[in-house]
Amino acid sequence: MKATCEQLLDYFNGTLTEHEKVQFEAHLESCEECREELKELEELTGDLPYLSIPEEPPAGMKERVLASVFEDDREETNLNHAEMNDLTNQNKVTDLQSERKSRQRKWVAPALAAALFLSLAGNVYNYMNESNPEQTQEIASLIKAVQLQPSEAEASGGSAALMNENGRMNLIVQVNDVADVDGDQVYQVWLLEGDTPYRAGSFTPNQQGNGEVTYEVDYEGEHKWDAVAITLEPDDSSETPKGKVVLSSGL
Amino acid sequence: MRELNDADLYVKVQAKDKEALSLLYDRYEKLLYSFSYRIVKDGGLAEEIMQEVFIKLWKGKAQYSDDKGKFSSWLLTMTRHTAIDVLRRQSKEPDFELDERDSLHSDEDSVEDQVVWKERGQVLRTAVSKLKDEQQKIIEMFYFKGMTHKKISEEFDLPLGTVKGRIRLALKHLKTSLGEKGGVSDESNL
Repeated sequence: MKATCEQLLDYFNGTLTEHEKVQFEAHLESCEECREELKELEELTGDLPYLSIPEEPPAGMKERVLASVFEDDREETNLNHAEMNDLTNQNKVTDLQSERKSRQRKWVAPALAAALFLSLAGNVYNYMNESNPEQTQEIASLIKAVQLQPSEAEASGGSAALMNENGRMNLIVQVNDVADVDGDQVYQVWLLEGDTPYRAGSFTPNQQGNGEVTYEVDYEGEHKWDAVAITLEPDDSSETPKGKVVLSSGL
Repeated sequence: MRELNDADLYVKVQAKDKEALSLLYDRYEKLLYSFSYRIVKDGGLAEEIMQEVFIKLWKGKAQYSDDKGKFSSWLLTMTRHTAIDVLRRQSKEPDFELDERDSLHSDEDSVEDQVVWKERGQVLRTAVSKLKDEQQKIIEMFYFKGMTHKKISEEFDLPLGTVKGRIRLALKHLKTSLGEKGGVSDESNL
């Protein structure tokens, strides 16, 4: 048996690298034994999914899944990832491309994700109640909620949500476990359109390292917000980011 | 009008028909979610898998064609691969525990609406419970946890060259224990 034949199991499980997979598929063309073994494996395991105990899908999953499918699609067409690399020209900025990886990384901490989701949901709820207790459901809608990813391997995290309320757009940002600020320093939130940053509120964290800000996004004209990022700035007057990106996410 | 079959719906999905995706979703939600859950044992992760699977379907990143067999089998395989990928992305090793529920389950706590699935499931679980622990474990590790050939050889202290045979044997025993009832035909060489 050739060494390649030993990759059959990993091929079947989809755990080969893309390159190995292509090679193995080429090998399959010429190795009848592997083809037969693969077919046999498929037949023998065909019923195994039905071993799964029927689980009740969580409420609202369909809406969430389909919304993310269609949103993801839109994002893909509108977003030029390369442009996002460069938040400012002069400043050494942690590359924002890392936010693209966040899609792959967001399973790392499901417990954290769940906690963030809950706190975010709570936030939205409060927000809606405060703004207009009578007709919350009609007027406020969540456009997009994302988890913020730390630029370096830091413990900080956070969430951001774009809300539509009566035709006005609000960005709600909430962070946890960020470093304390010195003097006039603030955390500045930016909305990015391509590589152009727009100010979107600032905050200073409390002693526990938590902070939040709600910002009414009111920039003239049509905007397609590609990303949200938070930088640490010397004071609250920066018109372009001077500090490193602390947290960010694509939108 | 006749109900569209899966392959028809898939074609419509490729043409970006949202309604078709929604119909496919409804058809497979419970099975795919339960299968994903069976693999990752976590509701949140199972939902992430659902999301990925349907993104792949929508974007045509995973391509189905008739020569790949039944649509449902293809979709289940795609789901399994996605789930295994998610497991692997988790930094920790998948912890293995032979869940009592997995081998013998009373079904008391689940209301099952898909009769075929229920029947198949019961027969299968009974058959699995008749396997030796080692064989149950190797099927679990290989099929549900997507453990690599090398890992399995380490975990079970088997030479690399023996792993495939052991898995095959376990699956064959399962098949025998099923007594061909409800199973797929088996004409392959023993």
